[in-house]
Order: sequence, then structure tokens, then C-alpha cells
Amino acid sequence: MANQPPKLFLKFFRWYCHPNLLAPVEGDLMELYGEREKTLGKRRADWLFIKDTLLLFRKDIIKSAAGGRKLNYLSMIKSYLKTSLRSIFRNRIVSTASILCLVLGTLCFQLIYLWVDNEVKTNTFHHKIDRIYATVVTSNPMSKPRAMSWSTFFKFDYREHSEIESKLTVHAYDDGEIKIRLNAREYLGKVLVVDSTFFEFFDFPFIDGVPGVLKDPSKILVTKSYAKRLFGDNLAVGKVIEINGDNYGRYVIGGILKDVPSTSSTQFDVLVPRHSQSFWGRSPDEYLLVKEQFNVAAFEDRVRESGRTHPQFKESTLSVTPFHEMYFDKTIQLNLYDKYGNRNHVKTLSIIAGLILLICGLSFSNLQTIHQLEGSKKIGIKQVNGATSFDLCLEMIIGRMYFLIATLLLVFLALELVYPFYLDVLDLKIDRNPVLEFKAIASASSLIVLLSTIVSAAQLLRINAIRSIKGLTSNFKIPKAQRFITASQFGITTALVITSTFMYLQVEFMTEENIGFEKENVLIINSVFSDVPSNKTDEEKIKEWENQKSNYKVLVNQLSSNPNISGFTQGEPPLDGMAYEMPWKKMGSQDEYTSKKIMTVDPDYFRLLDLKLLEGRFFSDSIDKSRQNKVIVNEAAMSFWGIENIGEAKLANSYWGGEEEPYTIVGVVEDFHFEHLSKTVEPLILLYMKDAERDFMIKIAEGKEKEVLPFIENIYSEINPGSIFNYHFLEERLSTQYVRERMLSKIYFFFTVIGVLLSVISLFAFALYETKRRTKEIGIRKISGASITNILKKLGQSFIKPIALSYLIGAPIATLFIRWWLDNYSNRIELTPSVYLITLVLLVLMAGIAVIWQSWKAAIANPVDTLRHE
Amino acid sequence: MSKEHLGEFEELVLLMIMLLKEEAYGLAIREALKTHANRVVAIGAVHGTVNRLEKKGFIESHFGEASDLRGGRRKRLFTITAEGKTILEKSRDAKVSLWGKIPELSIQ
Repeated sequence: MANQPPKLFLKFFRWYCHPNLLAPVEGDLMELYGEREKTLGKRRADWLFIKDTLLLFRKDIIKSAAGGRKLNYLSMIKSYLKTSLRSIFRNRIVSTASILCLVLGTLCFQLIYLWVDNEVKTNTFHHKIDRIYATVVTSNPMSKPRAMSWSTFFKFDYREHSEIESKLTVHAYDDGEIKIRLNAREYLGKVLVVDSTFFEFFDFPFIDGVPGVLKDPSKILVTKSYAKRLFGDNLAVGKVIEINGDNYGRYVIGGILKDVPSTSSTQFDVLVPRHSQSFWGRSPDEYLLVKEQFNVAAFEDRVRESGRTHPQFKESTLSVTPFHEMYFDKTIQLNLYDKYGNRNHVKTLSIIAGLILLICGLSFSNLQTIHQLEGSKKIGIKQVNGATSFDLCLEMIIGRMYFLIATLLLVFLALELVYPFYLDVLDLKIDRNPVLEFKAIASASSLIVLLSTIVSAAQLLRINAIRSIKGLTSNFKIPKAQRFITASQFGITTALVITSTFMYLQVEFMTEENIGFEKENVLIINSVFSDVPSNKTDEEKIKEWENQKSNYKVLVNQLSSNPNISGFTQGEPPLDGMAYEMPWKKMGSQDEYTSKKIMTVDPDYFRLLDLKLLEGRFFSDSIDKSRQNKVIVNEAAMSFWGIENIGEAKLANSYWGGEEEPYTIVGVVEDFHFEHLSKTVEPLILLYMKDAERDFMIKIAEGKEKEVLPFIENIYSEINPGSIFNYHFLEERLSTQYVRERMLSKIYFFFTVIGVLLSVISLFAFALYETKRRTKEIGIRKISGASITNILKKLGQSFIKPIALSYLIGAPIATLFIRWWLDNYSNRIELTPSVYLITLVLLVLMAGIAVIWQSWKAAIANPVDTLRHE
Repeated sequence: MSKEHLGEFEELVLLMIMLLKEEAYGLAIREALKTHANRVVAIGAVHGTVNRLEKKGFIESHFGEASDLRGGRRKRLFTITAEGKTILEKSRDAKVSLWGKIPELSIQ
């Protein structure tokens, strides 16, 4: 025939046509095509052919859905279900290792996923979250911006600003600062005192009640679990409870809220309407709900100087900060944030989750390859008996389904067991959502199984029936690709071990480093004297201020006369985020002003923290006064400006008079860590400033806490009647700065162990296969006089190479990664070779155990038995 | 639908098979429909109908010779069965008797 009709459509026709009809109908089609080609030309004939094939796609021509084949697929599947189960049980070691590997991998992925998901989704369940801003005040150019309520302190009227939809003022009390009383019993709990606009801002769902209930000053809202704590299973709504803190009040429970989800940055048990009392002691935060077209810069321009009417805030600047972003960029401390996130940790953990999944996938497909190689003879026989590649794949897929189902069940069980422990060790709070969990678990394990199935299918289709029956395939070495996979998977493990060791060392190093000051027995007391609120007239404000001054003198006298108190200061505590930046330059130099950290101190600061003086003197009450143009610098500042003689050098501050009012340097202190230990000690300028409102640091004589605390509490409540006494120890505050690092190093350790375990499982199965394959060879060697040591050496050799290769891949990757990670820390450890060495030894040791156990069994076997093998 | 029911097109195809005698295969039936009944149909329509007729037992089929013209495929030749003849006759009789009952004048 001269011309062929369009091939694609002919194929299509052949595919759908019932086999009984195929020959005659195709014959007709071809005949018609030939005729048409002669009379109408090829193009037209082609078109008509296409039309015909499409029109033939009809009920009486298409083959039935079961296909033209007469195979009974139901019984085939039944048989596959049986045979795959049998083969799983026959290869018990490989099967156990496979399931173990799937379960571990999925479980780890799940645990990390839960955490990452919780972090990333923080606060996103509030649907107006992007329109919420917090109000910020910078009291004077020298101070740090802080969250502060404008309406309380400046009588700010938000109604004058059309782009503000709503305002919310929040007083947050810590656990126990306000006690809940029911039937003469007191309960602890976290209380938020909020405006009735709270639910316009935030979407905390109700179980019982409506958001409007907060407008009623006699009503109070509690969460479900708190209601349960108070009333058990009894109805809580309508019951009366009392609150007792800086205010006392009786309230009716007006509604029950669902428990605050772990994706909320703030946690609370009780919501109290703010207008139910005239005054709340805790300094409030304020939040603004803005309209869609809100322009931050324009708004800030208008309000910038609105706070300057208040006598205490004559130099203040007002600004706003987006609420949502504070979670990951903690620039301002907000009441509605009980916890903060860290982008780096989320990123690193996601990488680890990916790596674990990768290792797990590689191990699993390796193990399945081994499984398959063992059954290659069976596959050959099936092929000879007419099994198509579809049949072979179907059987394999059914086998995989068993693994998948077993894994899903086991992971759910394991999660139940491990989960509480995981949360406990890492000190996390994460809500569980079974549906999401199922999705993540199922998708992770399915992904692994799917990938391994594709790999296996590719291998399966390459099997040559005749070779495999002859036993040639099963005697094949493990495919090169598989060896490479094992090596790269071991490489990832190497990388994990090395990085997590360095991370652990780094955390240890940081927490044990000499910080440069004495942190023991130092008590920090916040806001003994607070800012004067604006609900008073100017005269009243000034009067209260005067009152504070006399109280201050009393306090200072009492503190210095107590023998158990060895000193006190109102300098800024050396905690991360306390120092703030100001533009400084050295007088007479051509440099621009650069931002340098400053902290305000008083003369007692030096002795209290036991700083070391290098040159000059510290501030002293006999010579210096508050707010004079005198500074003390640290060593880092000396070297930054290249100052050699402090008598000659002077510093200028562009905010404070510039070069007309220079600052003389009176002394130099040795560097101390006034910030997080991840940062190098930066140039620091200490200024003498005395302000009553500053926090107190009180050094207590050793072992006298019990005497001193009630004493200070007493004075505190005399000055602030009805307020709650709040204190911290410097040492505790310092150690909480490193909580995150400690947690991280725990997580890395945990997942490294899992990674190592997965790799060992896979290597072990490999050794098993390799020794099985060489059973006869070993028998012959033994007969020919090889000793057990000889054989062990021979078998061991085949594993040394991949391990060496994996180490060469893994170590440089780990080095790159750990360098990147350590870049976040200025005080970092050296990458010591011993860690690399130990990792190598560890890996070789583990591989050795996995390999030698198998090899030993093979080596000591009786050659008579092994040669009969098969 | 009763087994005996015969559609209009089915009847036409059956008649063509009778007409073509030994040479009744898919394409020939299609040609005959074109020349004798002035009906141009797709080849799919013919094959669909003959399959249905065969299932109903009105025709039988056997394979004929292959030719190069047909790309080496054999023809499937159809012959009418006794049952097929009966139903054709029945259908014709029914129509004739109906026609007989209609007075000529009523047809305008």
C-alpha cells in the first residue's frame, strides 16, 4: 500500500476496538481509505479516516472495560495478596527493616511537620491579622521604643483618625497575678483585661455566648478547660466568680471560649472587661485595627508629636508597628506575645525533615531492591508462563500496599506513645489535629512507597526471564546505582552527625563562656515607680511625681540600711536587648557618626556586677552627677575608635549637641557580654543617668533570699498599694536567653540518632544480601583453606569503599552547613578535627557491627551445608 | 425492548445483506446503502448495526479472504438467518396490511 492512514488514530482504534471485531473493521477502514485516497486525495482521505475512527468509538464496537483478556483479575489479585504476604513473611529481616525504616522516617517527618506547621501558622487564624498594629512610644531620643497605650498616657483620640477602625487596650497579667476565687478557694490562671473590641480584632471562637458579652461590665469570659477546672462538668455560664489582684470584683460568667489554640502567640484563661474597673495597675498595650487603605507613614507623620503634651514625655515620638510581624521579628515586647518564633530554626528543621525523609526513602527502596533480587527467579518463571509486565508490577504494588498500611497503623500507634514525651522534652505546646496529621503521615509514607515502587518497577521491567531462571540475575552484584544510593545516604548521615555534634558543642560553649560579670544573687525588680497615667489633671500629675520622688528617697535609705543587701543599682541589666543604639563619633576624626550601643548606669553598677576596670575610673557620686557629659567605654569601643589615651579622646553624639557638646571618657572597662552570647561584644558606651522609674538590680548576700524578698515586697506594696510585686533573678533571666539553643541542640541530637539508625538498618540489610549471594563462594573458599579471618576481611572490603566514599561526600557538606549556621554566632567554636575523626570512627564502628554480624555467620558456617545451598 | 423489534436502519441493513448475498461485508453494505437507499452513513454506523443484528440472531457472520487492499485484514461476511428472514417478512406484512387498511383518498 502506498500510503498509510494517520498512525495515531489507527492506534487509537486498535486500542479501543473489541478484539473480535478488530480485523474485519480495520480491513474495511483500510479498504475505504485506499479508495478514498485514489478518488479524493490523501488529505481528504486522512480526514475522513479520522472521522470514521472517531465515529466507530461507540457502544457496539468498544471492548468492555474488563479488557479483551479473559483473565479473571479478581482471583489474580487474591493470589497476589496471598503470595506477597508470604514473601514478606519469608524475608523476615528485610521486611522488618523496611517497616522500621518507613515508620521511623514518617514519624520523624510528622513530629517536625507538626512543629513547623504550628510555627508558620501562628496567629494566622485571626482573619484581620494583617490590619492590626501596636502603638509604640519612644520616650526620648535616647530610649528604646516600647509598646505603650496612647489613650491611657496621652488621652489620644482615635476617632479623629478616619483610617482607624477600632482600638483595643490590653492589660496582661501573668499566671497568678490575678487570682480567681470561687467558694473561698483561689485558682491561678492567666488573665487578660481587654476592651469590648477584643473580638473585633481576634478570632477566638465561642462555645457558648457571643462577642458582645464583653460590653457588659458584670460579665467575664473563661476558656473551656478553665471552666472545667473551676466547675468540673457542671454548667459554668451564669455562675459568679471573684477576681482578686490589683482590683477586686465579682463577675458572672457570660460565655465559654474554646481553648486558645497553640497557634496563638498569646495564651489566656480568663478575659475581663476593662471598663468593669476604673483603674488597672498593669501598664497596658494598645492595638489598632486599621482600614484596608491604611498608610503607615502618613499616619505616623500626623501623630509623631502627639505625646509631647504630657510633662513626662516632652521629647517622645509615637509610631505604630505591625502586630503579625512581631512573632518572627521580635523588635518590641508585646503583652499579647507569650512566645516568639525564629525563622532560622524553622528553616533548619525543615531541612532536617527533608533529609530524614530522603534517607528513609533511600533506605526503603534499597531494602525493597534486595527483596526483589531474592525473588528474581520467581519473576523469570512467571514471565515464561505469560505474565505481562502489568501483572508483575501489580504483584509488586500489592506487596508495597502491605508495607504502607502497616506503616500507617504503626505510625499512629507510635505517635500516641512518643508525642507526649516529645512535647515534654522539647517544652512545646502543639494542638493536634488528627485530620491534618493523617494527611501528613499518609502523604509522607505514600511518597516514599511511591518512589520506591517506581524504582522497583524500572528494575522489574529490565529483568530478563532466561537469565533470571538460570540464576544469573540473583547472582548479580547489587546494582551500581544501589551502591551509590547507600553511599550517599550514609553521606547524609555523616553530615547529620557532624553538624549536630558541632551544634551541641556550640551551645555548650556559649552557656559556659565567661560572661565577664557576676550574675549570682542579683534580683531584678521592674517598675517600682511607674509612669503617671493621663486620667489626672496636670497638677495632679506633677503632685504624684513629687510624691514618687519622696518615696524614692525612702526606698533608697531602706535598701542601703539592710545588712542582707550588699548593693543595688538602677543601671540597665546586662540582658539581650537592653542596650540601645545612638549615633556616636570620635571628636576630630573625619568619620561619619556611627550607631553604637549605649547603656545607662549609676555608680553602684560597677561594684554590683563586679566589672573589671582597665583604665581611669568608674562613675562616683562624689565627683559625677547624673546626665553629665562624661562616659565610660569598653575595650571594644577603644579599639573601634583607635583610642590610645583616654585623656585626649572625646566623643560626640549627634542627638545630644554634636561636636559642640563633646563627652569626655573617664574610664575603660574590660569587655563583658551585655547581649546574647551569639553576638561579639560590641563597642559600648556607659552613661551615668539617675531616674526613679528605672528597674532595680539588688544584690543579695548569699543565702539570704528568704529574708530579703519579703522585706522588698513590703516596701514595694507601701509604694504601690494594691499592686503585684514582681521579681526575677538575673541568673534565671540569662539562662532563659539560651533556652531556644538548648532545645534546638536536643532536637538535632534526637533526629541525628534516628538518621543514624535508618542508615544502619539499610546497611545491615545490604550486608545480609551480599553474604547470602556469596554463600557458595565462601564455602568454596573455606574448602580451599581460607580462614575465618580471611573471609571476614574479604567480605568487609566490599563495604569499606562505600563508607569511605560517603564520608568524603558528607564531611564537606556538613562543614559548609555548620559554617553557615555558626555565622549567626560571633563567639563560635573552632571546627576541630577531632569531631570529624570521632564521626568517622563511629560510622565505621556501626557499619562494622552491621556487616560483621552477617559475615561472621557466613564465615563460620559449615561449607558442606553452604555448598548444598539452593 | 423485545428481541424481535427491528429498527428502521436495522431493517434497511438486513435488506442490503439479503441483496448483496455472498458479498455482504461492512464496506459493501455501506456502498449498497448509498446506491440503493440514498443513505450516506459512517462505517461505524454499519458495524454497530450489524453487531447488534448478530446479537439478536438475525444474521450470521464468517470470515472471508484477506487482501492487500485491506492491509492484510480479512473480511467479515454476513448472511441472513431464517429468523432474520422471518422478521423481515413480518415487518413487510405488517406494513402492507396497514397500507391496505388506509383508504386511498385519505392520502393527499
